[in-house]
Amino acid sequence: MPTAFSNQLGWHIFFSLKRIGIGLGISLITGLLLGWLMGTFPFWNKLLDPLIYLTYPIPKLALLPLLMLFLGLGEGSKIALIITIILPQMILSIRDAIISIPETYYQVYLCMGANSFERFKQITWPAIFFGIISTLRVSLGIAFSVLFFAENYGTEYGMGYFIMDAWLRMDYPMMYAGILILSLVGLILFGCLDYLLKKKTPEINYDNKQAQR
Amino acid sequence: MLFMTIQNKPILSFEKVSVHLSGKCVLDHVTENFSEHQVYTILGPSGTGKTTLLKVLAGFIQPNQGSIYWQQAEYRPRDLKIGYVPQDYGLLPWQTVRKAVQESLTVGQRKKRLTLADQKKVATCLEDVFLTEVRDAYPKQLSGGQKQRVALARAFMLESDLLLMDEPFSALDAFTRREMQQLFQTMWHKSKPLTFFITHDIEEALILGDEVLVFKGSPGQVITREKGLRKSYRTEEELFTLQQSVDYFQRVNDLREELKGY
Repeated sequence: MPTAFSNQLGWHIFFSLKRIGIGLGISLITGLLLGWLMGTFPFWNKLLDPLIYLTYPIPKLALLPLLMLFLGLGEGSKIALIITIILPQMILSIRDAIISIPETYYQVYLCMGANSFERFKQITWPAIFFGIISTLRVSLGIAFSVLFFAENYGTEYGMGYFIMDAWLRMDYPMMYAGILILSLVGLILFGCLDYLLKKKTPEINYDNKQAQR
Repeated sequence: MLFMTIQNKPILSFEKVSVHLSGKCVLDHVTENFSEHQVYTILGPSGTGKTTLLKVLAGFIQPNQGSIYWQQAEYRPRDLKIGYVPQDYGLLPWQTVRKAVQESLTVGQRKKRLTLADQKKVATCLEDVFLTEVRDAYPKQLSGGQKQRVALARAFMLESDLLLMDEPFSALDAFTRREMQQLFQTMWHKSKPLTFFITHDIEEALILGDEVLVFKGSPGQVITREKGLRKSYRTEEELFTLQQSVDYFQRVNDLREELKGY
């Protein structure tokens, strides 16, 4: 393990996190926008729904050669691969979270004279926050595994590269060290998401749930 | 009709308002006038368009025919402050009691930040509805009666032009319901908004309303407007005596007969 750190491990982690971060960030913003459009306006739902259902089952890894062709071997195709894989499920879960908000929440606020920004801020956003964190968690897990493929070409940095490189050199201790470190990074990120969720949703009593079920 | 009194100038009038929902006529040529500072309770079997009328007033549904006037001008619900209390209270799970009541002051381009006077107002309001102790609780932690009180406080905090209540007390037990009725009346007197109050409880309709509108038929129409008893008593004792009178029983029974007819 100590030797692993001398192998510029910090940079490997940094590059992986950067790719995941940008991928998740772009997916989240696009997912929020499209999910909101689809959840709010039936027109957009009817338009985009078939498109997403049609493309969702396509194994995105099969598209990797195409992405490489269009976006090159650099960061572009790597991040694009992450996005194409996690975006559809992000859009769908945000849309569903928005659709499931009870109508009366909005009706009361409409009557009070709330404008659309206020309705979004006070109702839509807090209502879908749980769903957003939930879909982020799932996406984060997927993004980590996608990284493995994405970092196999055109780069010499990233945890995917680090593990694969050690494997090919038959340096098994280093390979397992890499896997372990990857899991630890995941653990920290998941922990951060959980912390954020608990902090932002004080109305949910997370500790007392189990006893009642 | 016998009980109809001479009304002051109507503030809200319906002229031949018809509403069709998914091809079906729900309200048929409703022409009615309503006056300021009155409580109109609405009785009627389900499917007679009671809730539809409320939704039209709230602006969720556009009438297909006819017109509605507010102070002789076209009725624009979005320009008014409307207190709306749905059957399920419509409380947001992530808002504490205090936050929910505060929202009535801040939402709708009114105020960004609460002044000291506003905070005091919220505190007094919470005091009035006996929620001071649970002001930092979330709806999930409240009892049915407490939730209802939050919804009431939120609606009255608005100091609305119009108050719409859709069977607000129907989910409560008899005892809590009477408490809520009293509370409703005390709160109502502070701002006296024009109120439409749907209920399926005949006695509730009589006790709380200045007028009782009876809806019947499909498509629904207002078939009678009876004078309510809101102004006929002041104290609980007076109400109790009133409820023992033969006249009271007669009126409850008359209304029951009226509703049974269809």
